[in-house]
Amino acid sequence: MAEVTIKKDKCKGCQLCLIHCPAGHLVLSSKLNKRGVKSVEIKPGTKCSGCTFCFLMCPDACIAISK
Amino acid sequence: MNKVFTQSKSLRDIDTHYCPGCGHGILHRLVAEVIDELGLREKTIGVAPVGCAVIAYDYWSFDCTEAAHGRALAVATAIKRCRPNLAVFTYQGDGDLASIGLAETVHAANRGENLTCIFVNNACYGMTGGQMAPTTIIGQKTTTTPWGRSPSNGDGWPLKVSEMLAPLEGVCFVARATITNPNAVLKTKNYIKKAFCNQMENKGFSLVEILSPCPTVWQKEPTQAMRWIEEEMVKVFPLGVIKDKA
Repeated sequence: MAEVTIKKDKCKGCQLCLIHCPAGHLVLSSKLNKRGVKSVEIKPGTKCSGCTFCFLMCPDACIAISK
Repeated sequence: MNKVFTQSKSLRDIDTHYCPGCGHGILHRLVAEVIDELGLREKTIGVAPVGCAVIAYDYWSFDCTEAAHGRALAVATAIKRCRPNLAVFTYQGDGDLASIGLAETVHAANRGENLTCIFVNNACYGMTGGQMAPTTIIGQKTTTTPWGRSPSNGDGWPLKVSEMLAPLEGVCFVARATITNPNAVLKTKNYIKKAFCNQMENKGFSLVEILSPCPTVWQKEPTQAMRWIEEEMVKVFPLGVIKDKA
């Protein structure tokens, strides 16, 4: 299983990662980040396969994936 | 656990000024990754354009310089001729490369300068507020074509820079790609890598055109902007390798 870390304060909330996640593991946070936008976060309790689609689509290099 | 997919060292860990969903962020990352993978970080000079990417040099950790509007390829020519062992590339938008700098672009390509050119085509002038660019597609609304670009109004047709440069003798590699989905992003990275490899092997001028979204000017959500590229822009600017002499 892979672990996804998101730098929430860098996220601009464009949601490109969210729509490309094939498993639907990403959601918009209910809280605002430092920029004042709802950042993307991982749904609690989900298991990521590490396909890296979110990493590839993020325009702000917010996402890192560990395996 | 090892971090297997993380920010490359050539990309600085700072916030960018780009709008949400802007394609420049993905392309900055791809250029940085390619340079790191080829081990060129200490041997690269980038030339930033005028446009939204005007401060691209703040986001990369290799050497960069700035050129006057449209003159990036002329500046890059001088750098490459003085330091032929370095990898020199330009990163230009469509207003910079296809309009103001068209003469510099055509002549650098025609001279077969051993350079890599990353051409970001978002079909508008993004930084100045969304005016019509040479690459604006027919029917596309901009602030200077509020009813849509129309050849019958004297607006002309979209300028296909890649197709225009491909027949020139000095041009080695021309490809057009996009970044609308993960597969397209990987393909774009391969083209950029090939363009840098051609330069290191002294094969001549390589240009990679990337259809990139501008959600703010197009007045679309980032996800809708990506879909608009796939549905409308690709019809006018077909994807793929246009010339590969290597």
